[in-house]
Amino acid sequence: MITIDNLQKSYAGATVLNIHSLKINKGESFGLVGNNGAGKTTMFRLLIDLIKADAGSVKINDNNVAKDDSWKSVTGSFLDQGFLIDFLSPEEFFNFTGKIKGMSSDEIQSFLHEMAEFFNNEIIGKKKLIRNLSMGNQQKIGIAAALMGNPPLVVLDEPFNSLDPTTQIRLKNLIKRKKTENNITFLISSHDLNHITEVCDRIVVLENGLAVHDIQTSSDTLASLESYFAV
Amino acid sequence: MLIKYFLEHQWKQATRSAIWQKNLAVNLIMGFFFFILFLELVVISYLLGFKWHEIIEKGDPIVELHRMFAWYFAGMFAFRFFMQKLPALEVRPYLHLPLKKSSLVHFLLFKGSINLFTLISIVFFIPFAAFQINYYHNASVAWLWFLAVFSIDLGLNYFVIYLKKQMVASLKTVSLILAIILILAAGDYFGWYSYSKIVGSVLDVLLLKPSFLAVLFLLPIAMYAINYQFLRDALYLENLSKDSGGDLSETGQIGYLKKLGLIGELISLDIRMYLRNKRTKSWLYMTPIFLLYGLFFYPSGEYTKDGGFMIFIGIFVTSVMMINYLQYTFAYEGGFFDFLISSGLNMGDYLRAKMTLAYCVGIACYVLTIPYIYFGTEILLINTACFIFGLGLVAPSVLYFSSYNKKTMAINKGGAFSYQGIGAMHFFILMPVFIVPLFIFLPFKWAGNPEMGWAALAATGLLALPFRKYFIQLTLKNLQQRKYIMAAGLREKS
Repeated sequence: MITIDNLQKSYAGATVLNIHSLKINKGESFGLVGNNGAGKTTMFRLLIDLIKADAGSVKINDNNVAKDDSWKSVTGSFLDQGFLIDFLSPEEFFNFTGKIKGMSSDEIQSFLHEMAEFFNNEIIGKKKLIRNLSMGNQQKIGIAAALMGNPPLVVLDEPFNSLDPTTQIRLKNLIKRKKTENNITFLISSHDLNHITEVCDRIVVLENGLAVHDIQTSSDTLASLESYFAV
Repeated sequence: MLIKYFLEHQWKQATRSAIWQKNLAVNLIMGFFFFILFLELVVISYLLGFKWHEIIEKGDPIVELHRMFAWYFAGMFAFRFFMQKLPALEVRPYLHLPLKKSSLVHFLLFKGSINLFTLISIVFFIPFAAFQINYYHNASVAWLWFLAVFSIDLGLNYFVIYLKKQMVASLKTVSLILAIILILAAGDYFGWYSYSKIVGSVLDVLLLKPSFLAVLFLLPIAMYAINYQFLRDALYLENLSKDSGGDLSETGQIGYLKKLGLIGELISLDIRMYLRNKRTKSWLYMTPIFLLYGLFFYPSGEYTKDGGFMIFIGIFVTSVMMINYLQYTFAYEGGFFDFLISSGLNMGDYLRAKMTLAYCVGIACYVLTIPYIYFGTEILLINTACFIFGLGLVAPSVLYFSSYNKKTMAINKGGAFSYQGIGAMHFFILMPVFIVPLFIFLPFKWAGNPEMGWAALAATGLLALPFRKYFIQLTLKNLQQRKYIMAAGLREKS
């Protein structure tokens, strides 16, 4: 699904990302962990062509993302607040995003219905603009919008941040369900080792822009990650 | 000392902002120019003050001086109103600390008195006090006089701050005050009374008994107190972030647009953006002023009806709203540009929606300005030519140039006269918009045939209209090339 080749990015002479080679298979849930500044967000931004790589390439379905826009129709993403239109109400935003993804009004309605549990009655019908909602609720909207139209690839940067415990658990279930039902490939970054080992089949550890570990998740993954980060 | 920390934080905020650091060279050059301008100001004020009694050939120099100062204050008021920035301190990080709220407000207001205009006034007043008042009276009167006129200026400063703060809070108060000022100005213009004589003679009278000049010291103190009261009451978190979304069910809900599919969806997005953000909303409030702009010129015969100036007015009244809407494309979107370029939205559709809405705005403005026919059929003809030129050439080229922007505009904050997010680029766009029509029109006028000039203008617009797609392609290409630069720039919230 995704092929990363010799991908490099540096800011002001300092290398922030240098990935020699990485392949992510279809249907895999791929986790990215690393301390602050390890290059997680940079990697995701390169992946969806928001910044320009200094060298190397990212290919989604064998198309280079920087040269061909076809990846947009197979990818849903939520990295930060820049993915929300904050002067819309959640309904308006979902409607807008849905239309971009080519969904009909009925499909949008049934999608929102499907998300009702995840939203926990705090999003729809509140007559509030997105910018007036709490961080956690904004986060829910962004994650849900990334899932609209069941794209084969979903990229989420720190999705567990600012969510309440109930929603964190619901998000994990949602990711697992979407993965099995729709065979969606998930790319998720997180600081929370518990969450990420729970939802991901494969975890890559980034350190100073380098992929230092590439682990298939097993029962002792959490322990080994914890010992890795306990310095 | 608390104030030391405030000043230090402010200094760091200024020097560490991304804009400052990136454009250090530009800032240095600008600084140099300002320095030169400042020197010129010093020299001019010195010469004026030194030679005033020679410049004034008849009448009492001091009386004439006071009348001149009346106009100086009026001009200063206008300049301050349009150009002066509101004193701002991001107070949120300080509110929870054990600081007195009054110190925060005092600091804010103190900062508000320190600006370029105050400095200009000081430099401007001193020579007159030192050479004229000192000569006709004595040194202590000169001091008193200087402090008095400076008090007027400082009072104006705080009045403008209050007015602009109110403008964000309640537009009604401001409209009322501005209406009063307009009526007063009109009274002077039509000769019901003389503004300069009245203000001048107040100063004359006070100077008869110089200690009375001290009365004027009350002016800034009173204005300061009003501001203090207002700010102190407003300094709560809920006021700072107060932001009622209005009634959601009604804003930007146009049934017809739903039938247009994605384009309609995009148009309602922009309508909602305009209605739900402070900055854009205050532009909408100003629409009547833009449309009525012609009233300043059409009634008097001074501006000959076949002149280039009428073309300028024509472009202005028919197209300025459309231009305003289009030129900040890719500045409004700062908050969600990443979403736009990664969501799979066809940018061509996005631009087409912009053009469609811009055309609607242009047509609406044209229809609203048709009543100007009252002042002569030529005006309607000129405006029609300008309107066609605007739709055909101005709109697509402004959209094209807007894709060179890379600064976020915080549309959720600030009023109509905020310059945040407006770059040199946006002024650059306006030059061809107003100059090109003159290039087309003036040769015909000089050849003695202005009617042909109008026709040429309209014809240019008509000819350009079919090339709309080409302009959109050009804009798309530019977007494609500058995508990363724009995204990086827009991601930075200044």
